[in-house]
Amino acid sequence: MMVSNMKSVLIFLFTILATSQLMAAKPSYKPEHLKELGDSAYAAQNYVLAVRHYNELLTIAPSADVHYNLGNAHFRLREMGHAALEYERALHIQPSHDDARFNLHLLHTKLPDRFAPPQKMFFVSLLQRIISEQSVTFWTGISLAAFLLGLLSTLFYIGAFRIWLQKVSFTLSVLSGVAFLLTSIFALIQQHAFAHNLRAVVISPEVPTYTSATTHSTAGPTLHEGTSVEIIDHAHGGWTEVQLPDASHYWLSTSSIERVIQP
Amino acid sequence: MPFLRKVILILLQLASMTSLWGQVTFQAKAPTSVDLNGQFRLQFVISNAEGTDFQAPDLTDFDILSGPSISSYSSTQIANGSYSSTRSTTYTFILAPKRKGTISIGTASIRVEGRTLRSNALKITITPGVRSTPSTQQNSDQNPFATIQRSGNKVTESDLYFTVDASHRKVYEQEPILLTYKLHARAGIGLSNVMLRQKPDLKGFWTQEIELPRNLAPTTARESNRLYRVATNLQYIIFPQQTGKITIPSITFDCDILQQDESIDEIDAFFNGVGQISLRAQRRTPDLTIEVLPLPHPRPTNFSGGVGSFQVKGSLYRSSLPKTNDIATYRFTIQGQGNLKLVKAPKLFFPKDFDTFDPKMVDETHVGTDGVTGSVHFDYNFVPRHVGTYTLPSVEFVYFDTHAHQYRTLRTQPLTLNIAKGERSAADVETELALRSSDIRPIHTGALHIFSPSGLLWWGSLPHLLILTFLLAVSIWGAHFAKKLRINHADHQKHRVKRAAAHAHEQLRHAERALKDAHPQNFYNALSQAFTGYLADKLDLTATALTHSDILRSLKERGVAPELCHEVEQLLDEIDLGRFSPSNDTTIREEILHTADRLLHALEPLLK
Repeated sequence: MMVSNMKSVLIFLFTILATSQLMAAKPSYKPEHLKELGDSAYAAQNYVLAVRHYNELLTIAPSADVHYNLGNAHFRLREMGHAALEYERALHIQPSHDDARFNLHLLHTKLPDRFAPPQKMFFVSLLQRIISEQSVTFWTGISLAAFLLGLLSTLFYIGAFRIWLQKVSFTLSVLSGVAFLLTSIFALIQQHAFAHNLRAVVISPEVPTYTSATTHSTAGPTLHEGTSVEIIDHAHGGWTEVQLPDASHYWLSTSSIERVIQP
Repeated sequence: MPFLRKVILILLQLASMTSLWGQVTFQAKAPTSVDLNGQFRLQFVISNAEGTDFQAPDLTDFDILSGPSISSYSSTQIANGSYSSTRSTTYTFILAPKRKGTISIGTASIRVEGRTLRSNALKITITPGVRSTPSTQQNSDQNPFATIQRSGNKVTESDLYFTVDASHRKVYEQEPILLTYKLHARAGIGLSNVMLRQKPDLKGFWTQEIELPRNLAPTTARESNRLYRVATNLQYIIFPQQTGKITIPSITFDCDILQQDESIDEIDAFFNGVGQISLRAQRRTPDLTIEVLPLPHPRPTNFSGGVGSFQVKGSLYRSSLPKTNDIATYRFTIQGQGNLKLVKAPKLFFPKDFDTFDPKMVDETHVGTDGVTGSVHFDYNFVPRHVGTYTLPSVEFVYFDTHAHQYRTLRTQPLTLNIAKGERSAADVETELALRSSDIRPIHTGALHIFSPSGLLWWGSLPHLLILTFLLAVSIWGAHFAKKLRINHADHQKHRVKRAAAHAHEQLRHAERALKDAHPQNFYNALSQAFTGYLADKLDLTATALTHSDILRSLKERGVAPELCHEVEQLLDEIDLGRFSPSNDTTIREEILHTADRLLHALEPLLK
């Protein structure tokens, strides 16, 4: 009796195992496989299919390169709004993605609107660029290396018999301490920028802008699909205030833009 | 005998139920009026009885597309303690009329419990066919094309053929022709696949294929009193590029035809597949000749090559007025119907001190059955270099109007440009032009790097804080170790300084003993060990690789008087000299030994 009981329990367990295996085996591709499918569809100039594969992949696994490839596929389909959005998303994940930056820049030159870049002090804009064009991981990596170097040189300083060795290691430990602090601040700045990305891209083919959140106010420039903007404020009635690439502020309809990250 | 009792009970129940069934009827149903090109359903319904030996009426005035198919239905209801039950069997035909007028359908007969029942007769009015499309109902047993030919029957040229049709047979050069290839299949031909063997070789034409829906939507048509389905399976818009009589060569289609396999019965077919076999047939379209007339002579000198009906406009593509060193675009748009893609870019006469570039064509045309329509844009980029007022003269466009059969000239409005001073330099323009003419960078193939906002390299994440804490802890432990190491070293050094004099005097005694030695080197080596060893210990220097200058520098740092330093230097030199070229004169050795002893005593209070 006991034996047959055991047997039925075992059979039951096996059945559960088998069914769970079957459930797991539903047709879903591995991320790597989806990327290969997307890449080969792109190579075969079947950009619609590539877009589908990349989009499916991005629901499973976020990746800067996949956003970038998806942007290229949209670009080839002349969907400039979505192309710009995907390049922005690639840069959101990996600010050091040079190819995404280049293609986004190229895309902007192909748009009908021209924006003169705002005048800034050279040093400020250079520092901003240096910080913002590297990823969090880069800055954290540097700060970790500086931390390690600082600790090692402090140890050297403590253990050194020779005056010159003490001098060198002391200087080194102070310098790496400063480097650790600075790169940590940069990493935190970039982390903040990542969490509070306010960038958005114009998705409607054409969108009018206004100086305040009503169509009765003075009209601003008409924006076209693919223009990158920065969100400043929201107002009732589906209005968003944005900063254009030339640093001017205008209001437009919220539905005409899509944000780089979904808040 | 419980089993027998059960059987009797069931039989009794069945008997009582049959008695509850209502009156037995046999009825014919059909619409009263049918389109000649249409198809309809003729049904014979026997209610409340099971019939055998069904005899259909004479249906020679119709094509029997399907039938008779038999379906049965029964239901039993028990409400308020009383049974009510219905049951019926339906014999269905799908028919297509062969002629116009009123057609009578005779009675059908069926045997029920020994009696013969007859259905009512029907009259159907067949209206002349106006619609060629079949009814939208596509029920499987109603679709005439759902039933397919049985195997062994031959598929003749009249059962399945292709036609080619040209919208015009006589056209002007560049005037579009719509070329339509159609498939005609008689009802009952089960086509599963149609393949074009080779695209038509349309020499002398510029060809645009019209995209057709992937699913052919066949229409029904009656041809020589038989029902056909007709589908358009290829369409081209062709523009003749030569004049004279041009032949459009025939093309071949490969068709797969399904036939019912009679050797398999229905049950077998159910279990072993459909029981259909496939035949391959080839069909050719007939040749077609088209006469192409040349465009009338003389042609205007600035003829653009456009044939059709067009409108033009020209404007600045970017709304804002260009300033100096801005890249502006003048867009010339040709809109209409005709050989839009073959039109040559018109010549624009820009002011002389503008930089101009070759125009770029932007194609926004659509290929449809009405030809190529839409617009093409010619974008002329130009860069104004100087401030001033300039005029873009009007642009002329000459084309051949196919409606009026003559050449026409269209002109745009001249455009006045007030060029203001811009902020950009000529170098900016160069870089932007280079960027505009370049393509996007290629996609990144290869390994997939999945992004995650966490991990060791994410500032403040758990692994990151852990590694920071770990490194800090290790170095605090290491600091203790390093401190100990230095204290040990300092102790050792103190010991060395304290013992230096005693050690040196010991060494000097060794030297003294070697004073009279046959090998003078032994004396000098012992003396060198005693003196430099003493200095190394006192000055915290390494004994090996110790140079005179190192020693002297250290002595000076400790505040030893220059005269004394000089004496030390002299002694060191003499010892070295003695080591490498020793003299046998023992008095010199004695003198050196004394000097060494004296200097040791002199230095001792200075190097505490």
